[in-house]
Amino acid sequence: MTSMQRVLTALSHKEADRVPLFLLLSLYGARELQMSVKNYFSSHENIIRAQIAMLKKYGADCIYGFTYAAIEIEALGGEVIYVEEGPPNSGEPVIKKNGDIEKLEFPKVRETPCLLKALKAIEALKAFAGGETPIIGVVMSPFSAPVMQMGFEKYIELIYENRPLFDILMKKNSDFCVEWANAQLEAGASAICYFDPVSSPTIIDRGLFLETGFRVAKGAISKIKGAAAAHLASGRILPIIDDVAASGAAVIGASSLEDMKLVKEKCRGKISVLGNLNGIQMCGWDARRAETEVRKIIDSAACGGGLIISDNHGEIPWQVSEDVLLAISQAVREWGRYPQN
Amino acid sequence: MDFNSLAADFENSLISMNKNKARSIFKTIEKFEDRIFFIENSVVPALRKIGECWESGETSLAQVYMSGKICEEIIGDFSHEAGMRPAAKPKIGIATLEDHHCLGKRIVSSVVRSAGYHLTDFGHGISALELSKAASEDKTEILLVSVLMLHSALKISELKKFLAASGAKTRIIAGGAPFIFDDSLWKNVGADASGRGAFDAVRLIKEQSERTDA
Repeated sequence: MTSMQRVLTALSHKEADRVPLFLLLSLYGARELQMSVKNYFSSHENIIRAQIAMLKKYGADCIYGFTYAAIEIEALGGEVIYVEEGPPNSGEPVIKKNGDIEKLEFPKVRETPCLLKALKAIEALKAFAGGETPIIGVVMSPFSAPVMQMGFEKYIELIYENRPLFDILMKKNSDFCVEWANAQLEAGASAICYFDPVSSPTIIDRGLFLETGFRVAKGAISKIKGAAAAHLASGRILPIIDDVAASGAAVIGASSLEDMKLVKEKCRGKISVLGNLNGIQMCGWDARRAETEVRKIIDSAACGGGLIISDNHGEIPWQVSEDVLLAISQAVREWGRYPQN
Repeated sequence: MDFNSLAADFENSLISMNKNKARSIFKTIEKFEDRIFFIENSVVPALRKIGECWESGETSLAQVYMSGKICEEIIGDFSHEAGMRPAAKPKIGIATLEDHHCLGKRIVSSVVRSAGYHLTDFGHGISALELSKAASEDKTEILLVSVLMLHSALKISELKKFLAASGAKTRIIAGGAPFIFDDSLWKNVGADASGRGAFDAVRLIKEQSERTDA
C-alpha cells in the first residue's frame, strides 16, 4: 500500500496493512538542514529539501506543509519573533484595541509573499509525492487565530463581553481562513489541518464552544474544498468529540492528557483519531520508551482503523532526537500491522 | 450571616462569570473583619477549587481567567477603599520568560494578588539574562516564571545560572503548559518548584517562603 492508500483506508474506519504514522515535522526541518530556524523558513527551497529528506529518513505517511502559526500574523503585517530551537512566535498583537477589529483588513493570499512561499513549497512537494503521499496543509481556525491577533486575555474578554464585535472578527477571519485553506488545496495539499486550540474544553466550556467555536468551525469547514482535520493542539477533546464530528471534520487530534481507549470508543465510526504521543516528554525518551509509547496507542486504539499515530500537539519539538523518531517509525511498522491480535 | 451559603453563591457567580453578582454578594458583607474572613475562607478557596477543576477538565481556562480577574477587581477595590496594603514579604516577582503570550502570568497574578500578596511584574518576552538582572536588582525572593513554549521552559536553566552567578538566592517557581505535559521538566530545568495551575501558586509561595526564611 502507498501512504495515501493507507491513510484513506484508516480514515474510512477500515484496517489498512498497518496503522499510518504522521510525523508532524515543521521547524525540525531546520535541524535536518543544520541551519537556524529563521534561515530555514526564509526560503521555500529549504522546506522542500528538508521535507523530502525527512520523508525518506523517517518513512512517515505524510508530508507536512505547515510552516509556522505566526505566518498568518506576518501576512497581516504583524511581527514574527524567531528563537533558536523553537517555533517562530507572533509578537505584539496587531489588534491593540477593540476598535482595531473593524479596521482589520486581510491581504489576498496570492499577493502575500510569506503565504506564497508556503504555497510554492506545497506545489513542489506535490510534484515530488504525486498521489502516493498525502500533503497536509494547515490553517489557524478563525476562532483561535485571535489569540495571536489580539492576545489571549483580550480575546477571552471579547468573547464574553462583546459578541457583536466578536462576530465581525469571526467573519473576517473565516473569509481569510477559507481562502488560505483552499489556496493550499489548489497548490497540492491533500487535506487541511484546522488548528483550533481555543475550542478545547481545556480553554472554554462546551456550552460556550457550541455558541462560538463550533458555529465558526462548521461554517469554515463547509467552505474548505477538501477534507479537514480538527487539531486542538494538546487540548482535551473528550467532551466535544461528537460536536467536532458534526462540524464536518474527518479527523480529530487527541491530547496526551486523555485515555486513548476512551477517545477511540467515542470516535469509532464517526471521526478518525490523530495522536497522541506526548511531544514534551518525547524530548527525554530513548528508543525503548518510544516503542513502549507507540505500542500503548496501538493497543488502545488501532483496532478497526480510524487511527493515525502522531504527536499530540501537531509539531515535533526540535529537542526530540532523531533516534527517537526512527524508533517511533520502526515501532509503528513492527507493532502496527493489521490484523491486530 | 450564613457564610457557607454566601460562599457557595459567590463560587457559582465566578463559574458563571457573573461579575455583578459576585460583587453584590461581597457587598452584602458589611463589617471589615467579616470581609477579610470571607476573602480568606471563601474567595481564595473558590479560586483554588475552580483551578483544581480545570486540572481535572471540569472547568475551562477561560473560567479560571475570568474568575481570577473578577476577584482581583473586587478585592482591589475593597483594599483601596479600606486603605489596606498588600503583604510586602516575601518579595515576589513574576514574568513570562521569552514568550509573548501572557495569559498564564495574568491568571497567576490575579490569584496571588487576591490572596493579599504584592507582585512585581517583570513583563513578558524577557530573556533569561534580562530577567535575572531585574530580579537581582529588585531583591526578589520568589520568582514566578510562566512559559508557553518548550524552548522557553528550557531557558529556566539559564535563568537559574545567571541568578546564581549574581549571588541572588531567588527561588524559582515554574508554570505553564510544558510542565503540565512533563511532570519532571521543572526539576530538569533547575526550578525549585512547579505548579500545575494558578491555584498552586499561593501554596507554593508559602512553601518556598518558609525555605527562604529557614
